[in-house]
Amino acid sequence: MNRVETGKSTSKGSEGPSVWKGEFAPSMESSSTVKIRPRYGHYIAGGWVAPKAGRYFKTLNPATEEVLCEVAEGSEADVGSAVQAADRAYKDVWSKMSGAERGGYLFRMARLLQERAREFAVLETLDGGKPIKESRDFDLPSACNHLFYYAGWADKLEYAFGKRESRAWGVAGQIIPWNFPLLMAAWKIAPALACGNCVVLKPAETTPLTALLFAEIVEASGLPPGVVNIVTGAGPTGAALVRHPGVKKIAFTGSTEIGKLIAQNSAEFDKRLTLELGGKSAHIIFEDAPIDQAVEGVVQGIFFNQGHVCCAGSRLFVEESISTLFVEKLKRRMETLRVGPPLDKNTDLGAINSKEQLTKIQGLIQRGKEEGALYFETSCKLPDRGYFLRPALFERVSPSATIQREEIFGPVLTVSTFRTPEEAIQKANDTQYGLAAGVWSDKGAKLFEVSRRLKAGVVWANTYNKFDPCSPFGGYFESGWGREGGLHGLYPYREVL
Amino acid sequence: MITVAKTHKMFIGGAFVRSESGRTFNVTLAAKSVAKGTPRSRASSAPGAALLAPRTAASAPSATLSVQLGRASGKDLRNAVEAAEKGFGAWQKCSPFLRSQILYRWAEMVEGKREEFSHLIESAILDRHASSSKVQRARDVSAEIRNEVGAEFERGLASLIYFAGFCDKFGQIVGSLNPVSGPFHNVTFPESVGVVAYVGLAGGPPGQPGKSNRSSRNTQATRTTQSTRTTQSTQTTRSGKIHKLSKSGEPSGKLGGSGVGFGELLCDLAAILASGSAVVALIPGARGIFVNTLGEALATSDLPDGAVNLLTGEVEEILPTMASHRRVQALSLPNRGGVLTPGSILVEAKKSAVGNMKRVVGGHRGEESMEHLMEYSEFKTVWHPSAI
Repeated sequence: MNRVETGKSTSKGSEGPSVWKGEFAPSMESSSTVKIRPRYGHYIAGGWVAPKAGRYFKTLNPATEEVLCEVAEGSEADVGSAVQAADRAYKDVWSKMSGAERGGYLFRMARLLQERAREFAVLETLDGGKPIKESRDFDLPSACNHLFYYAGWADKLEYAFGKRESRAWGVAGQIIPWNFPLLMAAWKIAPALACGNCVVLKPAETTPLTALLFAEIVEASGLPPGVVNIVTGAGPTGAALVRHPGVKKIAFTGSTEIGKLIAQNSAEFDKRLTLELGGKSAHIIFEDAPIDQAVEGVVQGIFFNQGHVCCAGSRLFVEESISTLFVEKLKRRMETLRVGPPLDKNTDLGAINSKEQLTKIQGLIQRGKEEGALYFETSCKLPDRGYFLRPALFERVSPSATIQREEIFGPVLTVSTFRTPEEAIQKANDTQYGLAAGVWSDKGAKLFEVSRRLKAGVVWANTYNKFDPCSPFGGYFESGWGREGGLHGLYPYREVL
Repeated sequence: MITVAKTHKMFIGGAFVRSESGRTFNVTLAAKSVAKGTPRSRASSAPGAALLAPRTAASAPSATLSVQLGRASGKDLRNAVEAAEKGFGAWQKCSPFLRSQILYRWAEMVEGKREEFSHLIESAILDRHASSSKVQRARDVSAEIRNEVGAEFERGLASLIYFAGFCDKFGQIVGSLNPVSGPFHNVTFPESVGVVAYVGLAGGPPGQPGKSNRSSRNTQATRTTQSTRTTQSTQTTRSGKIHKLSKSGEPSGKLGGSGVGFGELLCDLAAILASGSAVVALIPGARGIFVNTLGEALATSDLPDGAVNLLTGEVEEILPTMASHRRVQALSLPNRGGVLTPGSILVEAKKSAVGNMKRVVGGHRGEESMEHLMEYSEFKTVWHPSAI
């Protein structure tokens, strides 16, 4: 798995022969395990339903620009029947079931998904463009673990809510993004079901396929029809779900822009929102940090999943005394990153998720250059077709530069320097976001104090981009409302009486 | 002897100020005799009631006192937010244990002003009774009101002490050491949300301003019945009340109205402070009479300047600025349950709070509970590798 290992002084790519120039022979994962149907309807009340308006849209493989299949475009009527199905399942079956029974289904789903993990990983990579080694070693295990973790909570909720009585909201509407499609589905479905809610899930329009395949897991687990419903579509489908009066609870992961729209549209209704939104997370390197490990951490922090990560460490702050050395080592390490076919097991950075996202990132890079920052990108070859970008960084970035303030959501890092811890903290907190932050130092006391003063929901000290089902995740300020994961991830899914 | 009347001021950044706009509005207080000898509690009031002479306030409404409250402007609000940012920094520097002690000291200072507060509470209650056209039979009402005043004061004081003791405890209850798979130390703990803008409107149905419930269970019961009973017409009445306030262009000069009661106000402010956050509170209309005296108690409590800022004035005028202010992290609105009227001032405030994704809270106002305090907290999770 392409993730940071810390605590030991081994490091790759920074000693000996400085840059690996050899070519790797292709090592393609077979896609024969995956059967994609030519056309998918919505999954409502335990069955496949054609969209009422009869409209479909295409989903592409961003690495080849080939059409994978057609997917139903959800209308207000489709959303209506899904919510109705969820509501009926909630009233007739799910709300009457014991926590242990609900947990039983979740345990089953976790196991069934584990068994078919490779198939899901390949499909995730085909539809979304992420490297197979990440979908295989991160997305799938994490998704299974999330289901398994929350399964065990279902019959222990009285411990989670202390002396307060609580009850499920009923129907939860869940809207998920395209960067970790199946993992986000698991993050949403697992706690909702454990807490006794029924769900209507809307996957992102560019990556609906793993969620639709997950319907088979739902079915195989014997989950009562209507407890999990999946409606596909783009923004208008999501908006219909948010507006629906039968949906008491909304959980959304995506951009701050859309999160704000959802919050505004819910202002007059008594709806509960969990919003996991954007970020512009700071990554601070002190001069006393283990340099080579920190370089690895920075690389993982920004280039993991092509930088399509809400908590990506996209603003690097290096102590001035080591900045020249650090940036040199960082560039050298970046040169070893391989951009290539996502199904190739050697690929470090796969395809950018969509043409739209590619254009957006390119626009921001252009803006960065125009605003006077110093641009660097690696020299690797890009595939001829598909949406690809080289890992890149900007130096001499002003605090007010567009690329320093706006979320790029791509493999682009900004580098700035600082002289004192106070300055580092001040610069790190100079953002409207507050999702995550990273800090590297050999001094324990310094780490504690800096971690405390960084305004972010997750702080990684001497590591970065670590996730676990039992570890709460979520941000301050414009990075959203609420937490997902762990004990704290249960709170949004029950009404405290 | 000529009575020396007190000039009522707002409390911003530890200083007593009038509105920079120079504007004021008039509020009428009850005559002073009543507050004397206000019993400590309901229990002790019964035997003591006979000792109290028939009072003049209810029977002789002419014996009243008129005060001018400052009508805060948007500029006052912005000054208060600036002060609150400084106050937040200083309050954060206090250890939770020290915050506990300071909140307790605040309770001591409030106790020292029991007589003065009782007078203000009584004024509010009398006015409320008058506005709900309750028949006032001098003697009965006096006893009833005296009990009510005592209970309201005790409730506020008790809430201060309750939350004083919570500052250094809730973190242990809601924090966690997370057993992640892998060689990592992983902890989650609460942090203060930052600067809170608090709108001192009561959450209950009209006619019961400031009514709130001690136990969390009760609160929910009230809320549930409320929302099940709520019809379109009562909704209209509720928002209509606010509109009335706004249309007149003047803050309600009458006590009561929809302002928050003394007990709930202290409870809410204490919860915000216990979380480690700082607050800019607008106590609208005639309930603004509490502000000056509360400020005096706060100013002598060792509380850092700016941790609590109290404004008087009009919701319609101040709320929009509160809701859109980018240096405010949470907006505490009264919990009115159910669907709000589109276009009403509360809905517009919620929409404008989205500008910087303020947390819109208030669902647990008036409660002595950890959930109330947690409305003003965020969770932070910190990872660190574990290795030799």
